[in-house]
Formats: sequence, structure tokens, C-alpha cells
Amino acid sequence: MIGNKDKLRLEQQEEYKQYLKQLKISEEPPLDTELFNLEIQKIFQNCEDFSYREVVLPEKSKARIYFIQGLVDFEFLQESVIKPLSKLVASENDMDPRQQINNPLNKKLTDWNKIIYLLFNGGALCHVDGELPLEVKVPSKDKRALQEPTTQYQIFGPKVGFIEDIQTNISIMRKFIKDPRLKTTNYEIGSLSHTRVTVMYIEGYAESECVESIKTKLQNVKLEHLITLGQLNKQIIDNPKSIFPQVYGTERPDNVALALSEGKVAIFIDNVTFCSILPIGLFDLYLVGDDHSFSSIYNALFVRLIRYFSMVISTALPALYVALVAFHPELIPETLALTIAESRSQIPFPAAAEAIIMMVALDVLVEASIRLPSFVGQTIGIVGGLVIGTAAVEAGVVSSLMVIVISFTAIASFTTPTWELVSSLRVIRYGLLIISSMFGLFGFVLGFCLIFIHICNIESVSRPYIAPLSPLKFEEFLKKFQQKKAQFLRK
Amino acid sequence: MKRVRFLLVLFCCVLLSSCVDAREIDHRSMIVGMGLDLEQSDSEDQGKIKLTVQIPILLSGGGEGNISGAVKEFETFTATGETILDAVAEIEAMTPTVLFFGHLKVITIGDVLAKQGLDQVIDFFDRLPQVANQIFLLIIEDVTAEEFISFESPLVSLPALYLNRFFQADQKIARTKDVKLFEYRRDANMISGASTLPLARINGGKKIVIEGMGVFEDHKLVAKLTSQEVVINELLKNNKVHNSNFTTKVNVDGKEEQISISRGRLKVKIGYEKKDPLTINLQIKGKGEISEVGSIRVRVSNELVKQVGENLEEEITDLVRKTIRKMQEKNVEPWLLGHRLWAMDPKFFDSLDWEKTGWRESNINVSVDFEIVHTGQKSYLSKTKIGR
Repeated sequence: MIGNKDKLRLEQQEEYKQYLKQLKISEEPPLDTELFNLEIQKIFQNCEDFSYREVVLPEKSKARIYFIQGLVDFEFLQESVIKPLSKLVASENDMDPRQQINNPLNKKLTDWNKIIYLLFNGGALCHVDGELPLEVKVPSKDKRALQEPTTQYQIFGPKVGFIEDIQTNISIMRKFIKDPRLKTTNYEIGSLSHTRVTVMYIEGYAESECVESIKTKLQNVKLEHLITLGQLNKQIIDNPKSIFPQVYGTERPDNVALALSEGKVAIFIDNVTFCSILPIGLFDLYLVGDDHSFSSIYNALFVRLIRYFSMVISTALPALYVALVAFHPELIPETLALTIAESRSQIPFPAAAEAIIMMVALDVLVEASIRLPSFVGQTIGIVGGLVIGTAAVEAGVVSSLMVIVISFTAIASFTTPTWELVSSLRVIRYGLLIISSMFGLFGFVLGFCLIFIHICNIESVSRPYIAPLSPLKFEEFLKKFQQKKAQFLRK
Repeated sequence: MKRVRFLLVLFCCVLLSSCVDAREIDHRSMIVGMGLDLEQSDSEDQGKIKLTVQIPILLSGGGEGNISGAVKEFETFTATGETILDAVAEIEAMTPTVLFFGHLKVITIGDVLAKQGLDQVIDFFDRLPQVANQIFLLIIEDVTAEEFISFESPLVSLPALYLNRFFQADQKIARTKDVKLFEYRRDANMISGASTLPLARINGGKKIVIEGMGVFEDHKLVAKLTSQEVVINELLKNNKVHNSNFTTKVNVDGKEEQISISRGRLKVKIGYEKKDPLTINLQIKGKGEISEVGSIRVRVSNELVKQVGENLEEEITDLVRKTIRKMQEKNVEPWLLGHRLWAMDPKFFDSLDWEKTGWRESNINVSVDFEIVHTGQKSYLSKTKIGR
């Protein structure tokens, strides 16, 4: 059964074909220069950045070089294509003009779609009279320099991140893994955007079923336009309705290289600075390439344990606090209970409302500071810190202990290396808080059980989400805590 | 759409039906201490249970200049009733919020009530789910439990917290021993039906003193053990006792010196000679170290050490005999001596008529062997930790 969305996509693809048809152009590109020119001008009608250069060859035949302004490096085109062809006229040699081009690709373009795709991808097209059009590779000039990633900071590790150009990103990966077993397969997704997607894996490392499964899914993706990573991820993950991220998005090539060497598959998308890694489990989301930079395994072990501990804290602490304060004060040690009771004595709201007020205020602050430039962001931080930290307590709106609980929760949540997981845990935190404020510790445990049942149930490309904990593979599980192979066990 | 409607209804049901037993911590009157007396005034309430509860007054904390969490004051409420529950209900009428027993750690009981019998008290608290069996019981001498629970120590502002901390810190063995409700119940259920509870008083109206133990039979206070006798009480009950202190006098160069022994460790081996009357042989072995010899001029020689050991052997023997005799006179046996015999040979035990004459007429042979193992603690690397 075809869903409404699929139907829409099919219609949109059909529209594109219809558009090409109504231009009344021939099925295959014509060999005659004039005819070809006529038809290609029809396709790029009203595209003023579309342009061409004409070179007259010996025996008065013509060659035309088509390109899109701004997408190609014109100087390079001049030096490597136009000049050699002009020289050919001067020398009056009877040579194949295609051999004179500096970077000939003997790839005959027999399809209009490919021609269009080539031109928009920053290439040029050389059409010699009587021949099929020829692709000319021109390096794109609109590429930003490689910079340090802006979202995934690291202390150690390389200071380079992916950029918007997929080809550059793939070449960065080639530098990390200089092995022909590093395979790439390209796809074009999006009936409108024609976005290039590349699947990268290491043959022999990645499970072939997994690679095939991802490839099949990519072939079946039907999107009109593919602009962001999330759009594609939603199409290829097994449980799109789950709150947990099933794809690890990273803009660090070292993370990708490590993941590839672990047998994972990376998906690159053009114009996106992030790369998707899958299949992943919950524990993989807590691993950072930087951990490998520690020469002592204990340091890495410690930071990982801190992260796992923070995961529990950031999800459960407000809910646990509310459950204990509102339902089970007898479980709090008596001196602490007195402290809590005293700090809460003049607060007009119940603990659950207090927690929700603080959590919402914090999330508003976080959201506000993300969008703002860094100098305004700092102001927001200071103002927010004052309002939440001091003024709210002094005004008697929230208790000082609640401020500590929420601040610690927020700080703990930011130790999670994956932003998407931070967001997921944030939502779960609200859920747990609500269920705990209704049912106390019973609700808290119930909520945790539901989360556990869910994460035990979901899979990422047919791999259990909490692998290697379940099914238990002890040595692999130990690796999640320390970076090297299970050294303790070997000795 | 149907699903959404169903979820909405479910959500509303959950919202409406729940949060029933949610009560914020500051909306509960936290009872931290409790005193139980027998009303003795010449009113119509005479002979009724008098209940005193201690509730901390929570001042607004967290503000500037306030030390958050410091309890400034407490308030005590007293009510009388035929039963404890009656009194509790009357106190509930005096407080704005519900009474919360979850943090009740210590129950103090006046000795008048203790002499009359604790069965009513034990039954009430044994049935109270929030209290559990972890609460400490304490018998108050000289003053009433009401006066005791209202007395503020300069060391810890809340008397109930004082008592709780006192019992949670170890090293009180030389003078008294904490007893929890379940321990009291367990001992009272043994063959001899005897159990012990710590004693407390206000010394000179100024200081809280917790020392000695009250001995109960059939939930009635029948005898009291002094702080030295508490050591023997622990020894006979648990077959060993650690960290007890002794002081003895020794004649050195014609002058009497006080020698203090600390870290005393005693062990006892109990043997029974099954004849009528029963003979119980107690073989006690002890170790300790000299921690004070009165004057720095006194040389701790081998002779002195030997003399101290011998003195202690005599003194401990006397103390054991005295303690046992005291209990035999009252015909109460709180050390499970009879229980152990009953477990090993119930037929023989039945022939003794333990409750009437069996224990009272038993012969006790005591032999003590005490050894001084150290004469000071300097450079003493292998010393064991005392307390927490």
C-alpha cells in the first residue's frame, strides 16, 4: 500500500520527467553542435548563470564548452581546456581535439540527466561537432578551507572537521585510511535537489549484510529534496518513532575513521558538514575519538565512567528528587530531610512544579543561547544564571536545593558527547519527572523499566541497540569502557 | 484519531486519580523524637499514657545570611490518652500538617512506664509501618521522658538528633549498648523472656548522660546494670566484648597508683555441667593494654605488668560474679544462657524449672585469664580501629 507521502513523491518525480518532456528535446543528446546548443539552451532557459565558450577547430568544426558561472574555476577552464583547443587551431594538426584537453575523461555522456547533474556539480561540458559531449573536470572554486569542527570540540585529536563539499570530505577520509579496501558507493537522492550521497565502509571489516541493507535502503529513499542529514536518517533507520538516536552524526574525520575500522558504515551527504555512522548502539554514542588520545587506559576509563554516570544523573535526578521529597521523605537521611524541608518551607509550589519551572527555564536558556552570536550568548548565560541561580531563590519561587539539583542535572547532561542524545535525554527527563510526580518511586521505577524495555527492543540496522550488553559479549562490553582491546582479560 | 482520544482519556484518568498520597516534605510534621510517660498528676488522666513528640521548627532557609539546614528550634507537644493512638490523634489536632513518623529514630520511655510494662508501647510501634524496626529505645531515669526530650544539649541542637548520633557512633560499649526495636523483640521472645534497654538521665540538670542498661522481664523493668556491668552483660550475651576499659590500683614502691587499661578484649567459653542444680562454667580470657599509669616516674616493668594482669583477673571475676548474682536475685537471665541450654538439650532444660528455681539456684564458676599485650600505643602499628 502506498502512503500519502510516497504518492506525493512519485508525483513530484513524475513532474520532473514531464518538465523535461514538454521541452521537446531529443531522447539522447544530438551530435551536431548547433542542434545540441539549441536543446541545451532550452533546458537552461532563463538560467542566466548558464554560459558557454565557443572554439573553432580545424576544418571549421566547432567545439563548445558549457559551464555554470560561479560553479567552475574559470581560470582553470581557460588554461586547461580553452587554450589547448585554441592552440590546436593554430598548429593545424589533425589530432583528436579531445586529446588536447588537459583533463580528458573519455566518458561519453548519453543522458540529459547526467549532463544536467554534471553541470550543476561544478563540472564543464565539452561538445565537439559530431561527437558525444565530454565531461571536463574543473575543480570547484567555492570551497571553504578546512577548519576545526565547531560543534564537537576535543582536547587532543586532529583539529580538522568536515566541510560542505562531499568530495573534500571523502578525500579527508582517504588520508586517514590509505587502503583500497575503503570503498565508496555514490547515490543521487532527491528529485529536486539531486544531492550526492556516498556510502563509505571498509571491505572485510563491515558486515556485508549490513552494507547491503543500507544500500538497499538508500536506493529506496524517495525524497524531493535532501538538504539535511536528519531527512536521510529518518528514511534509513529501523525505528524512526523511537526517541533515541540510531545514527551517530559527527563532523570529525577521526571519529569516522575509528568507526570505519570498527566495521561501521559512514554516509556522507553533499552540502552537509556531518556524516552519519551506523549501525550504532547506545554505548557508541558515549565514545569519543579523543578518548584514544589518552596514553593511560585509566584516564579513558574514568572519563567514560563519568559520562555513563552523567547519563543516569541527567535523566533521573530531578525525578528522583521529586519522588523522594513528595512521596518518600523517610528514605532521605534525617539531617538532609531537615535541610530540604527547611529550604522548601516558604516555597509556594509543589516540588514537581518547581522542577518543571526550573527545567523549562533552563531549556529556554539553552535554546536561546544556541541561536545567538557568542557575545550575546554570554550575556544570556550571565542573566540566566543570575535569574535562575540567585534571584529565583531569593524571591522564594524555587528552593535552593532545587537549583542545585537542576544545575547538576544540566551540567551532567552536557557531558554526553552526542548532541542528539542530549536532546533525547532531555525529553526523557521530562517524562520521568511527570510520571514520578504522579506515582512517586513506583512511577520512577516504572518509567525506567519502560525506557529499558524500549532500548532493549530497538535495533540499528538489525543490530541490538544495547549491544554488546545484550546479547552479552563481555570482552566487547569492556571495550566500551576502555579503548584498547580488553587488556585486563588478556593478561 | 480514536487512539488519540483514548490516550487523552487515559491521561486525564491518570491525572485525576493519582498524586493522592503525594505530600511534600514541608507539609508533614516531622516527628524526630518521642517520649512516653505514665501520667502521674492527680487529674482524671492519671495512669493514662502521656505522649510527647518533638517537631523541628523549619525556618525559611537558603536566604542570604542564613545557614541553610541549621535547625534553629524545636517544639514539643504533649498529649495524654488511654492508648498511644489516642494521644497521637490529640497531637494531630494541635499541628497544622499531618504527623510523619518516617524520621522517628528514638523513642524515650519514662522508667515509671517501663516498670509498669512496655507491652502496649512495643505493640503500637511494631504495627506502625513507617517506623520499621530500626528505631532505638531508651529508658529515662530520674526525670520524665517529656522533660528529657525537651532538654536541649549545647552540642546538638535537636535532642532526638543527639540521641540518634549517640547510638550511631560506636565505642559506647563500655557504658551502654544501643538496642533497636527488633533486637528488643528478639530477646524478649527467647526462653527467659528477658531483654535489655539503655538508660539515660540528665546529670545535674545540665548534661545528657546515657549509661547503664535496664533489664526487662516480660516487658517490665526489673533491674538495672551499671556501666561496668554492661561490659559483662555484653560478654555473656555475645561470648565476647571489645574495647572495654578497666582501672585497677597497684602498689608501686609503697605508693598506690591507678593503672588504666584500654582496648580490653574479653572472650568467654561457656560450659554446662548437667546436674541439679545446674553448674555453669565461665572460662574468660582477656587481653588489654596499659594506657595510663598515673605518673611518668612509674616504670612499667614485667612485675608491674604481671601485677596488673593478676589484679584485673580478680576484679573481673568479682564483677562477673556480682553481675550474675544480681540477676539471680531478681531471677532474670538476659544472656541467653538458658536458651542455649534449651537449644542443646531441651529435655534436661525442662527438668530444671528454669523460670522459678533453675536459674536462681544455678552455680556459676568463673575463671579469668587476663594478659597485658601492650604498654602504650606509640609506634603501635597494628592497632585496631575503634568505632567508625
